[in-house]
Amino acid sequence: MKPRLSIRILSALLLLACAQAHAQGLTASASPPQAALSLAGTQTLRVQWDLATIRPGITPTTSTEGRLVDRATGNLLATIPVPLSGTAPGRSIETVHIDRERLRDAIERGTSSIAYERTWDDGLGGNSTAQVLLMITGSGYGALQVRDVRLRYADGSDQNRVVDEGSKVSAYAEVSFSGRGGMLEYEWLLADPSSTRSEPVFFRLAQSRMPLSGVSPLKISAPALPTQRSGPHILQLRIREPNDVSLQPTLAYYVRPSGDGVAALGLLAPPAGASLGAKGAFQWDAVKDATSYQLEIYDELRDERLTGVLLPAHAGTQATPLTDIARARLPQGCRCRWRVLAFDAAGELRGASELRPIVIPPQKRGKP
Amino acid sequence: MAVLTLAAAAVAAQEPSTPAQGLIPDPTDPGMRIALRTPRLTEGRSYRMEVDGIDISAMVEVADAGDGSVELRFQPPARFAAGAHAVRLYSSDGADTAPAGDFDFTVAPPSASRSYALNAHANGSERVADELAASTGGRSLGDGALSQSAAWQRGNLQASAKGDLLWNSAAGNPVDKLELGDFLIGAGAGPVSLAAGHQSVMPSQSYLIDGTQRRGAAAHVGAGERLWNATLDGFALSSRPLQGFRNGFGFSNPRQRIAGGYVGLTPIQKEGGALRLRLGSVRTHTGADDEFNPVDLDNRVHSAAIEGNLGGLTLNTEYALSQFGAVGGALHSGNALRAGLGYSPAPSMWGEQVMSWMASMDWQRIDSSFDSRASYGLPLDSRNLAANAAFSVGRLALQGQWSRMSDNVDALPIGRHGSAASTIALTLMPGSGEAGWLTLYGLPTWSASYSHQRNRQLIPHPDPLLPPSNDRVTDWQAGLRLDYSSWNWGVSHHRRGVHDYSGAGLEQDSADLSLDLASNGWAATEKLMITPRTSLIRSKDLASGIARWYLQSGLNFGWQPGYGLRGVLDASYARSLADDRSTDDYQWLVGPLFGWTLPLKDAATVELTLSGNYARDMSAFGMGETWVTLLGVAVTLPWETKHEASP
Repeated sequence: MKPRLSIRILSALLLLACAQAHAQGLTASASPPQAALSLAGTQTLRVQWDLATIRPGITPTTSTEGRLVDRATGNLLATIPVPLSGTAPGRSIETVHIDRERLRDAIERGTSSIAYERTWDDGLGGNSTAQVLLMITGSGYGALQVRDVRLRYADGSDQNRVVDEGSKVSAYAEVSFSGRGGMLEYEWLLADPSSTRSEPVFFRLAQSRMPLSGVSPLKISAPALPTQRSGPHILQLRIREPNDVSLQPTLAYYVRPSGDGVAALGLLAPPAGASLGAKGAFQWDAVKDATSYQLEIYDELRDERLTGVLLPAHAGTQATPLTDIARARLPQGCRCRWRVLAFDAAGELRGASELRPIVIPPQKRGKP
Repeated sequence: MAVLTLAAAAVAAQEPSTPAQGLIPDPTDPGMRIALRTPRLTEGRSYRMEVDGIDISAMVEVADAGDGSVELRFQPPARFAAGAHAVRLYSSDGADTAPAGDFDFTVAPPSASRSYALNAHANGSERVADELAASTGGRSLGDGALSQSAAWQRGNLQASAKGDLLWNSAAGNPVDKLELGDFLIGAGAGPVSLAAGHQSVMPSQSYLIDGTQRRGAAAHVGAGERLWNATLDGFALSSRPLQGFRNGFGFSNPRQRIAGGYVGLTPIQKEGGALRLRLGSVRTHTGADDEFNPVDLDNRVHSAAIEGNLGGLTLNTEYALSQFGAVGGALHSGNALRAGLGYSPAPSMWGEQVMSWMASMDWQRIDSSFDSRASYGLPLDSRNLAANAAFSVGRLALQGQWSRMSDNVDALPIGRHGSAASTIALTLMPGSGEAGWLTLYGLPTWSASYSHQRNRQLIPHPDPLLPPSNDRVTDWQAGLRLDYSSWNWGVSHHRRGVHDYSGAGLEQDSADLSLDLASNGWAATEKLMITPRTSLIRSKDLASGIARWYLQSGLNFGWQPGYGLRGVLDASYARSLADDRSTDDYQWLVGPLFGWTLPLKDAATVELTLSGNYARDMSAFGMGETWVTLLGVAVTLPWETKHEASP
């Protein structure tokens, strides 16, 4: 009977201890409770840990690491050695990057779902483990997830750079995503030298939305970036939907006064992609101190100059038709690009335009 | 001083009957003037001239040289570049133009040259008054930029360097105080060249490495026209984006390095076409200190590619093998294959209209274990087939695309998902020179497109928590843009929708109506330039019925009254307003600047400025009302030196 009595006493003590632990207990839960984890490269998982306690007041809590666990076997697949802290009651938000390499062994064993979990400890004897169920899927499944966003200039560089006043600066965002189709809503913001010299104020340049579907990554062109004012500029892309994207990439450029450098030469007509009519003429803006302008016509795809026209820069001569000599150099029905260069009396280049597409139908008569 | 050499003078024309007497290049003339003596033409005809395919007739002076001859003189706007140049003489009566002679000359390269250019700009400001959200840092602020480029050449040896420095002392800037921007240092000796800095090492699409710029070092050797134009490229680059001075040239950290190379051969090369072979190998390490790759990873990719374009036909194929895994662990193997074929014949005529077309087809399979960490954004674990076609006649262009894609291409115990997409776009381009140009209505461009994508689960996922996906994404738009000489405006309608058949409730449907206006600048007076831009969007969420207005407007005034004075005023306004007033965000930003520029020596200037801004930012991320006034001084220092030695 004594042993039975001892067990009863021990059980009673344990029940009392459990009740005490519950009284001081910590409860952790994860949101979202489940998510799809794509096989495509590195996945970003955003988890909100909600912490509750029955203790009065606010209790600091910590979690030393995150763990990836095979749901079927309970085996530990990997640890994320990133400590987190929070308070109970309260919440802690974490962004985890999970490379598919960490899951490979589990996948090859046939696992189709794993769990990401954390154990939270309040240092007073209360602890609680919460987890997010992760279903391993192909890259096309699951909710739309923006994995990465990078801003680049048109030449592919992601470096902050120096540009000339009045020059044309183009940039784009490369958005990597996985999951099934969904809508991306975003804003392009810019802080210009009126604020970047003290405290940047980001102003909305443009906003739009587009369906994200098909092959990732997707390129989104930024609107024309202002370069009229010298000083530091900061471009930013802010994603509003999906609303769990914490990435707000920036790209900076410094506009310097053009001084005696090469100015951006503005083209007036024809507009981009136009077909040059029989009476059509090329027109452009005047460049200060220019003594001659050179119209140049290039191949549509290659940087090969096909022909051009050189003109003296008298007042009002920022226009020329395509001469019969120049037209004869072009292939029949040319889909080409054109630009204008401006030179000063010393032979220095003073202005250069962008290359603009044009269609030039063949001439009807007067071929040289 | 460059020397011009008359290489040939062959005249074959009906008129004049006597050949031109020669080209008279003057090697001592820094402007490299061309002069040509030729018989005078009969009444009603005149000479016209072309240099390197450029019609220079408007710049040719004609002088009577006596003896029934004229001298044609041409002063080029800039010095001729080193190399061969061609001159063609024409005789014309206005209606008929005929060749009258061809000439060639060669400009020898300088035996040695060196040049250096620097453009420095620095701005110092004192914050004299402000009301800022987070007034951090001191009241004295500074920013600036410095760009420099240098080049040196002696014989077949050459070296160059260029780089940017940026500086901003204000808090909250991505530019970290003094920062190194784009830079590249290069050196070459004949067929060998070396480069260190930001560069792209792959000119075309490849599984080995993408074409974006990375920091690192690269070497290139070319065999010229021997050995099938063989080239050898090697590189060591940083595997993650680098900014600023930290990390030096970017390739010294073995845990963050992309190292590899490729051999290029061009066995077929002729006018208008070439067939190229490329064999390469790349090894990429991504270290655990990279937040996106919390383990040390080792990735090796070997690839063979054939690319070419011959007679309008383009070919693009590549096969790659990869090995991938954690450092010290087992490496897993995968492979990828792509093949693309395209045809684009030369434009032809349909009546009096230019007609052109192209068609292409691409197929790709990247298995579930293939990975190439140096090729950013590569679609992993997928199989896709895509077809593109475009047709245009006159000003009408029609484009169509179709693609089919699926994931989980290997036999994994996981659901496979597939999609098929098609897009059709129609554009009516503007014509120039006909009536209507610069009229009240401008020059119109019409466009319309429709795209449709169907996504569905091909094999169900084994976990019952994941229902099969089944949805359709549609996107159609129509727009009209009207171009004037210095501004344009347009209106467009856009409707996009995600229609979910899986029951997961992911329905989305929205319609936007947009009105846009943009300008290159309107000269109100000789001293005042006004540049407006505005965009008004009416966006309606058709699922919820909620509609919003979005307005983005800007107005820039540039005033230059003379005496070195200038005034700039930037005013911007943005607002998003829901019909039910549930959201009403707006931003005001006004940034005035008054400056007085004093010229210094050699194009250097100093400018005294009074500037500032007033911002009222009541948007979701806004900082409320802030303003600042700055008193500043800015110095601009452009400097350039150039020296060339005669050959």
